[in-house]
Amino acid sequence: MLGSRQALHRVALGSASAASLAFLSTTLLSKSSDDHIPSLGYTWTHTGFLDAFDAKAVRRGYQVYKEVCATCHSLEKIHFRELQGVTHSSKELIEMASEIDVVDGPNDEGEMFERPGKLSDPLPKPYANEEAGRAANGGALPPDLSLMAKARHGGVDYIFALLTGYCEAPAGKVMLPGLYYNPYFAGGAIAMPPPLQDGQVTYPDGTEATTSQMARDVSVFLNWAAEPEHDERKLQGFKYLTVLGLTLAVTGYYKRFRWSTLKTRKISYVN
Amino acid sequence: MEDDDDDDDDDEPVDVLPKLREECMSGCKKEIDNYKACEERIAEKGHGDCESWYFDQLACVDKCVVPKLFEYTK
Repeated sequence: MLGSRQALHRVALGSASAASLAFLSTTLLSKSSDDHIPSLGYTWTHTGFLDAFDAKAVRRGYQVYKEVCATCHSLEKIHFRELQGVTHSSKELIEMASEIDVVDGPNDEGEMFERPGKLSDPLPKPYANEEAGRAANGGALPPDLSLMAKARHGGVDYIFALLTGYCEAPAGKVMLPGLYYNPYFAGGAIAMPPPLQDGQVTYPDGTEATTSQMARDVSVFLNWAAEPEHDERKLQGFKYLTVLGLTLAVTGYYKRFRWSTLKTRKISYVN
Repeated sequence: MEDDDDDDDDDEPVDVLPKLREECMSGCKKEIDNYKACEERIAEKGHGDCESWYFDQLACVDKCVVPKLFEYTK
């Protein structure tokens, strides 16, 4: 039996805890608990099991990379020869490569020399080395983009979201000078200023160069750069899986057929 | 760069993304209210940040924008 004093205690405790738990009401709690928001899946035309890259987008994306991104970002793992049949013809590429100068050597005198580029050369780097890259960008090195579509969670979705995701920092967030707010970037503060603006590039095929269009094209291009085997991989994958699937079915049937004698065997023990 | 009231609009292409985002904000009233409430709270307190509530808002807008955006690009 509770005394009236104990009962009063209990009532007081109950109402106090109800009041103190009010801060847990759903309007005050936020759902997000990470240092960035995830990029959602956009409706790409190349993500299906049997889908190949949109070749036109890859070509436009190369143009965006070259005119906008290549100022700061290298694409070291891609050579001119790898663009053959993907973005440009061999003739176009030989001409494009010859427009850049490449350091080669040493020659017979032991000196390094410059020569026009060839198909076998990698795409030109904006900075000679990491230190130069950092010095030109306030200490933050613009990363090489050859594998970026594979190196980040979200891949091609992440790249697109990042490029189009710049917005104002939320209230209370302290932003160091020289950094820009991007909610898709881990930590929210990225050293790269928003790189794309409407009309920045002129597409020769007449496509409107809006920010979304350029971001889409360059994301597809970077996805190709990270996975140049993509189209071939999916084609071979489909062929092999079909053939192996049929083989499985035939072999499986044959095995079950042969084993049926044993599996339906009846053993009886007679004393 | 935001002159979209030209007579001939093949001067500057205008991206549809900001407009889409604004339209999608109308479906995220709860998240927007929560964020504004947070802003007021930290303005009173003088410290704290509202990033989580901002993320809720952005995630809600994203859920609406993402399935539709590529219809407006090639």
